Amino acid sequence: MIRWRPSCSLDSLVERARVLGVIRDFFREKNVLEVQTAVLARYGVTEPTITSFRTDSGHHLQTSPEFQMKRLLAAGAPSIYQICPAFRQGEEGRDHNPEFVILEWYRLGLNSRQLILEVAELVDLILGRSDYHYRTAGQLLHAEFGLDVHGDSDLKVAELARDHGLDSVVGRSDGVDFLMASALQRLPFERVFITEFPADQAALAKTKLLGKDTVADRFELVIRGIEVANGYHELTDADELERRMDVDNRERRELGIPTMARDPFLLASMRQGLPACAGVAVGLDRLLALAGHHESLSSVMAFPFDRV
Amino acid sequence: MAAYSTNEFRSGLKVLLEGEPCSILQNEFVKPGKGQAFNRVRFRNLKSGRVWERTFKSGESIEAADVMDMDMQYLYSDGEFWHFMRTDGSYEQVAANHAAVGTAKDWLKEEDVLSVTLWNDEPISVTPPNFVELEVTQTDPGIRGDTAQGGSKPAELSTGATIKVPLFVEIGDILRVDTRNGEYVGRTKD
Repeated sequence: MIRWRPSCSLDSLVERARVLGVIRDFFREKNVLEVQTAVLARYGVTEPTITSFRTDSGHHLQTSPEFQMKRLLAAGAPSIYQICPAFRQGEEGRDHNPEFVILEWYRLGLNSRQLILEVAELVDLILGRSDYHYRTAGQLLHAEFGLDVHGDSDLKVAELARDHGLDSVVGRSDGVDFLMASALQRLPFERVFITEFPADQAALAKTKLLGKDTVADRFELVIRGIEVANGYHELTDADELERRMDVDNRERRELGIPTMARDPFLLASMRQGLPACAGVAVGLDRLLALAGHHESLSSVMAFPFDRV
Repeated sequence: MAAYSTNEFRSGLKVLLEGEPCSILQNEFVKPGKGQAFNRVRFRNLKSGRVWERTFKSGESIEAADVMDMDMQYLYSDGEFWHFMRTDGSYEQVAANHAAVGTAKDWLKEEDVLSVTLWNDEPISVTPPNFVELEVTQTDPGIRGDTAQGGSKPAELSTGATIKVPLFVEIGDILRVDTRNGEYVGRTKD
């Protein structure tokens, strides 16, 4: 029997439409401009742990609208937001669907702390008010596993990961990712902002000094163990970005996966000058699932991946 | 030998873990936004029945286990082995040892058909039907007419198992028993 019906209820569609209205009102009030950029592009992300869908024409479906939104900022756009589909191959599960909806916004002149408060303000409108707790990634891993994520050796990381159930550990980042994912699912609070990630997980965030350690100026919002938002104090240095993209591709070669060309449009726009800003991406489907107390994203999506 | 990658993991899939045949119960995909993806997997060890939890990097593979469930007829026990015969007309027989039969031995009645799990053609577990009908071989005398009141007594069945039964049950009665919890369900009208 072919499953042609939507997997979510009609009520859930009504709720999604209502939340979209809440979000648009929120940004209209703050004078943040709604934009739309291309979903299909010649260049994709270099991050080794993200796999984009590639078309026969050699294009990529976006894994996030980040690059093009930054080009708008470099071209002089004010603070902007976008609600759009994003695609990540192989990510399928209770909290993942290969196609999902991102709410992403950039605020000129804001730092991480200020953007965190704005994220909390919006989440309160959708989930209802609650307390937010704050932990640095270092504090979280130390409290949960006794790990000094910035100082401890690769061997210590590998041992801890194995002791906590990871069957095989290849590199340091595998171990750290695993321990982090485990710690997030055991957080004793409903809503937690995790800040100051290890520098090798900076992605497109600036780095800064925290005591003697260099950390990424990046944050995540975790609600009931699920990552809902990921934000950066945005890296504006094109040379540093180019260097990180090369590191990504080196890692891709080591893993035996295809390398990704550096996006020359993004790099050129950053050479022109990306204004100081902070940006964040919110997984809208996850937020809706949390709002409705659903177990799975399929309860808030009309047609998840197994029905299309 | 075939292998399955984590993205093929489905509940019910039979795999080898640390050399033991296991059935996948649950497969949860876990991926931090900026990090490696993992699969947190729960397995049932088909020999011990224990549940194991393991985490793999997504994309890793584990070996498939040649495991199948087959309907078979119980023939007899020689004290050391329990003998079963295929019902597909081949009359092929297998002998299951004590570890494979486990607590199912309490519910094995000759000629009953039940499910035998084979690993590399060797029986590793036996699953009786949910309900079996067995004769009472030993119990205290029944109290006639007392069919409504509560109260129970032990009764030994033809398989050697002892269960709790209502007071009116007598030797020679055929009882219907739920094999999942070992509880008396009723008397069959013979």
